[in-house]
Amino acid sequence: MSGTLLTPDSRPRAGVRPTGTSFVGLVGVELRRLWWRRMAKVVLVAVVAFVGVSAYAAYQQTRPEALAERIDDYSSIVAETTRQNASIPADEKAAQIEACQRDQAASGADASGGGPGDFRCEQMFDPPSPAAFGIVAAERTAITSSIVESGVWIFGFLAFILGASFVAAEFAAGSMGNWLTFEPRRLRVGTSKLVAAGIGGLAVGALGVGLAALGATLVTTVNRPGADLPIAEAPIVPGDTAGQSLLRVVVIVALGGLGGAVIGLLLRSTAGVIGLVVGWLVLVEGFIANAFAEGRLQPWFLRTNIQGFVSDGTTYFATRCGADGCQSVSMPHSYTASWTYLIVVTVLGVAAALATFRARDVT
Amino acid sequence: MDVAVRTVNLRKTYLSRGSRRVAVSGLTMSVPRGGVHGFLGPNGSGKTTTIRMLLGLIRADSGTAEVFGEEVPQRLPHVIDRVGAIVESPKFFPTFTARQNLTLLAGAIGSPRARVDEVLEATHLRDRGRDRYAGFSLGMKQRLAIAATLLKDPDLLIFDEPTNGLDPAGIREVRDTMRSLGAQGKTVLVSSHILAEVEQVADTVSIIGHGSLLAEGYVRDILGGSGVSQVRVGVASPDRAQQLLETAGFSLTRDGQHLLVAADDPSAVTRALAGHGLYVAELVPVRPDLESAFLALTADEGLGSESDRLAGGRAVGGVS
Repeated sequence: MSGTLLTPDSRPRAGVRPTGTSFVGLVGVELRRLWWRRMAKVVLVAVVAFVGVSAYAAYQQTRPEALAERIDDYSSIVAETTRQNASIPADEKAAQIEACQRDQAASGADASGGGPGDFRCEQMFDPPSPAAFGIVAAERTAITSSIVESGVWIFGFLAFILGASFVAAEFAAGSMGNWLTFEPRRLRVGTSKLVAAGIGGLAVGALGVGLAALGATLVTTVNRPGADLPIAEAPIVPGDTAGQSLLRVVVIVALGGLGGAVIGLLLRSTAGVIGLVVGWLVLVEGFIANAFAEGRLQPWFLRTNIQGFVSDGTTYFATRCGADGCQSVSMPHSYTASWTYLIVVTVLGVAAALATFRARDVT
Repeated sequence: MDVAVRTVNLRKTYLSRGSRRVAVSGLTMSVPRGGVHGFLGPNGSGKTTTIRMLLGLIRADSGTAEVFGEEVPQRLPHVIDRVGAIVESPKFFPTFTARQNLTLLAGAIGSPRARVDEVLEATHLRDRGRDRYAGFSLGMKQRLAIAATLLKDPDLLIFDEPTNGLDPAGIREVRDTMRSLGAQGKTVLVSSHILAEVEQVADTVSIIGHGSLLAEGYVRDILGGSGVSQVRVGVASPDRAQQLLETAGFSLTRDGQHLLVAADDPSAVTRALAGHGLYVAELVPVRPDLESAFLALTADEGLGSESDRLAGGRAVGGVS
């Protein structure tokens, strides 16, 4: 080895000098870094594990043997219900149906802006339907939606941690300063990191949905029931609605990745981000949202709007007090209000993160 | 003078928990193009802050800075491809391999992947390219950091305390590397609180204390201006020799059994003593060094404690 750290000819050969890179190229570099990170592998394994467990649960639930057991139970209950209903006089039944309809109308009057809910009063003496009793065929779209709806918070949280650590780890390792000595344009650098984190989140969401669809396909293939089972028709979810719903899940998970990177850029510490998020979820979303203004603040919190976006509108419970006292009523929150809220929060967050990153010293 | 780096009245104040700390206070300095320029000062004197301002990592409160005539940080993107820097210790992604780290940086500047192989080869890291950065020794990390700066083939290399934590062999390698790069016509700006290090490699030097410039110029000029030459005299009867030399008009101090005599011409000392039957057994010129120059410069700056640390600074860690 020579006395210096360098060989005598350390200059680049002609044709291999730096040429600069475009913004898209910079995003590509960031995506490569994202993929090389251990956290990406951890998230990948977590998504696969979650979908695997969920698919296995769906498999267990839709096994023909399990269906047969439930059908036996169902038959017993139907027989018992029919026997009990037969002993109730017809005028008493009519009175109970009438009371139910009054309650339904009262509920509709209380729910400001929303129509009366359907209490299905006329069916109150009918035996439960097979579908309501869980006796349904294994249907691919329904299983996929079921897995994804229960997984959206998991996927979103994983994407959030992925995005947050992707950015914050650079500050922790001190490599952000080194990076900026190669590309000093801060807005460009910051934006490329946010875009890469968003794409990473998108990939997590797409992976979750894709695996859920794959798992559902496997489950329905394996658990196709025989013709002898008297199962009800599956609660088919219309294809376009299901597709849109799954797409919204992917979008919300992508926003999770972007949101993580935004907060990572602001706090510069993964532990700080996790602390903030846990504190926010417990204190603000869990306590303050319900404890003040009789629950009517909920439309202004993330949880309600994420749920409203994913589920094409949602409801929340607020306390209403009147002459008859206070009661908890269901309040609607529209899909439009949800996505408008999420867009505004995202734009404000991205702007704050980039402005902070541009202005603050990197030490 | 053709200048690679220039700062004019650069100032930076840190605010921390309600208190203000002036890190750089009206620093005006110039780094000539080509060769090795030492950036010398005690820990906390503002060297790293100045370097960070030159690289756009922190913003100056006031003043201007230029790199190759381009004002920074405003026009830094226009010259960044000509600047390679290692600020404080090398910092890369710890779980990535050396090659992965370099590949990412190469991608950020549009350097072809072939250049990664070249710089790994040039820094003798080819066989360690697939090893994780976290497992590297400090010397290897320093080597990788130099490899990263070479991705751009820079005209200006900035090394901030490059020998901190290195073993003697590593220190020598880094020193020789800086000399080699300077000899290739590149401008090497090396900051250090270790006087001997700067003295051995630098052609020119800027000395700062309390965030402002104390002296600047060629090392030989600063050494020459630091005071008169001395000789260390060993003689059988130091008391009598002291008396004779003082009578003859020499300025001197005792150093145990030796005399430190201020004299531009050592032969005048031997003549004065021999004329009285005293013969010199030892006569060693005491060459002025950067340390004494620094002590002389800072004597009136209230940097006494910093100077003490600097004088013994070879073992002092920390960053400025």
